Amino acid sequence: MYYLLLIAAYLTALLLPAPVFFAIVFVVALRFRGYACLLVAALVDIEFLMVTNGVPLYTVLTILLLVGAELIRPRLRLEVAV
Amino acid sequence: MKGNYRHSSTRTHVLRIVGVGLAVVVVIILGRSFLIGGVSTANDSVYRSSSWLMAFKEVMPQYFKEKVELQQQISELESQLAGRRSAERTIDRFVAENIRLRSLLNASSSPRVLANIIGRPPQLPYDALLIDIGAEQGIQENAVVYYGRDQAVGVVVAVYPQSALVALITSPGVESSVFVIGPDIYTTAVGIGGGVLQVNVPQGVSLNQNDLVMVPALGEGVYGQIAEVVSVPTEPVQYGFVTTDIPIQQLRNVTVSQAPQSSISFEEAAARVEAAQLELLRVDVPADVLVDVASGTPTTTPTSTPQ
Repeated sequence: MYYLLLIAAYLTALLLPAPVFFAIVFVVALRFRGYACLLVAALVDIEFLMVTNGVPLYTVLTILLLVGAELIRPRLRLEVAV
Repeated sequence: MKGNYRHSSTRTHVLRIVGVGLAVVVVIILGRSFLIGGVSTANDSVYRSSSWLMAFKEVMPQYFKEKVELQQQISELESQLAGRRSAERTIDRFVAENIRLRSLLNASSSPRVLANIIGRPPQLPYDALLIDIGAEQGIQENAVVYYGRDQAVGVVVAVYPQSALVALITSPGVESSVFVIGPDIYTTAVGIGGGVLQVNVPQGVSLNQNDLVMVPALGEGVYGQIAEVVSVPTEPVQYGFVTTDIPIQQLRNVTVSQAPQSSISFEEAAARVEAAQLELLRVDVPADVLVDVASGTPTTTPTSTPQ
């Protein structure tokens, strides 16, 4: 399930508007902690870094989402699936 | 799914995420040149598959059409083609005229290469296009990308072996000097994304919808027209929003100049504006409607009307 979601996130990042990708990242982050989402975001940023004046926006936003999910999870009483 | 769950310290994990994230950011920025080949190949294969599937989806219904329906379509297309031929002759004449005017201005144009767009917004993040030609086809960074004959849409910012990344001038925050035909002013336009440029001019300047806008640094053609003007009398600035005739989401092919673009002086920019305006002045008036007199010196003496 985790790897399927990561592949979906990668394809979404390339083919669909950005909010869809970040929604998947947030779900993965809540359920699986999802460090690998950083690698998916990095795959997008490496190619498009020149358009954003050298700021890896996808990776930075993914870090924020992962941290946000980590802070929210205890309040939602969710468990991380290992 | 495994049912093994465990509690961990939130603080530890937050620190770990930030640490790993910063490491990834550093790797992206410093190791980009080493990783770009593999990443570009992987991403391009996704874009190419996607655009192939889109094309397949459009072509497939043609195979299931009835013969009569196809014949009707052929005759419709033939009549459209006949109409287009006359329009093409007009365009050819304008092109010949444009070449002549450019030669008078000593302007040079570099040969261009046709490229298919394999990635575009909203599929691509950011206001960018991904085209299917790259360093192997002689594309260089800073080459200007055109739609049609002379509508410049952006600049190549990164070149990969078999693809290239084009930043559109409408990318958020990108500033470009533009000339607005109508009020005839030079001003600065800022990209706001989504294929839209924003022009900010002081109140009092006569900015109207459908005013044509040029980006002289990108070429001599007209970029687009003002689609909307937002003017609040109590504010010192009014805003014009510039769009192209064809939305960037509908672009399929572009041409790329083989020579990279260098910065131009104000005099060169003014010359390009003048050349484009001359082009705009000419309208193809049918001979039976045109009322024209050959220019020359009058042969009769002027007469005065009795008071």
